[in-house]
Amino acid sequence: MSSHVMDVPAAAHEHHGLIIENQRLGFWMFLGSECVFFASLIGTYLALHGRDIGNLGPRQLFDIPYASILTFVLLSSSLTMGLGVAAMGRGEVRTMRRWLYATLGLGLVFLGMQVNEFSTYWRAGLHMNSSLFSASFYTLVGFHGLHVTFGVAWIIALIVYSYRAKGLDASQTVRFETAALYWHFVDVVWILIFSVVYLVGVLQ
Amino acid sequence: MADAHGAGTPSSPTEIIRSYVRVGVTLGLLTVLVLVLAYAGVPVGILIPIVIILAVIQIYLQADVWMHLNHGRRLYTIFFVSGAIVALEVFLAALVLMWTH
Repeated sequence: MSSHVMDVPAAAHEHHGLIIENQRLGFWMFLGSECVFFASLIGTYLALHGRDIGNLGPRQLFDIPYASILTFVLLSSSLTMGLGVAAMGRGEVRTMRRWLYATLGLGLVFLGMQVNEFSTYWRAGLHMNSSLFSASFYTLVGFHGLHVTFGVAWIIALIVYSYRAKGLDASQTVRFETAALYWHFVDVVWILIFSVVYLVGVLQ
Repeated sequence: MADAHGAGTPSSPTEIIRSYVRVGVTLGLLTVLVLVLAYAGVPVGILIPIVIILAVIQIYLQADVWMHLNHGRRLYTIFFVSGAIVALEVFLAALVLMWTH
């Protein structure tokens, strides 16, 4: 009888662990599908980036030092996010929260700089419908910016949640892990955009 | 968190932090190297493949250390790499289609 009573929580624990594993697996599948999404946008951009109008092409517009700063900001935010998750692994919620704040700040700096970059191009006369180059550029980099915006909103939600949660068990830490994975993935996509869109665009 | 790490992953907190920072510094240095090469007057035909190779190294480092891709469950890697392979096919198909039309 007593062994039967002990089996119920054990089974529940196992079921709970399975749910967490499925959440992780589902998120990796989602990231795999995101690879396809961004590959199609980058492929389209590469095919169309030569179809600009006159003096409004990648060579005339792109500011490599500025794009490099964007890269360093996002790389730093990925590092702070990783350090936050490492702090979570040690059970140090306050330290984790500090790193999340740092990640949030860097994410907001990135977004602010990207809005500034877009507005500079817009003022120079590069609108969404100016050329095939502008349409593919704004779509690709804009969608990446939307992903960063979603990531920033997610981090804010996690910070709020960290104040409300009493301790972090496995079901709660998986929320932070998936957010960190998402943030690293967004950074990976930016490395591709920086290399393929900005550098190759200016060099060609 | 602990179950997300497997064999070959740093286990102590100090080691984990060191490996994260090491990768962060390496990624920063690789970005600087790309910029130096871009402004050093290296011929474009050589520079573009170098830029792509350095980007692939950066992505591998991120996925390996920060995303624990090679140290988590094998199934995660399979799903993610499958997506990446399909992505590469879509990427090449988009390029071929647009350049031939």
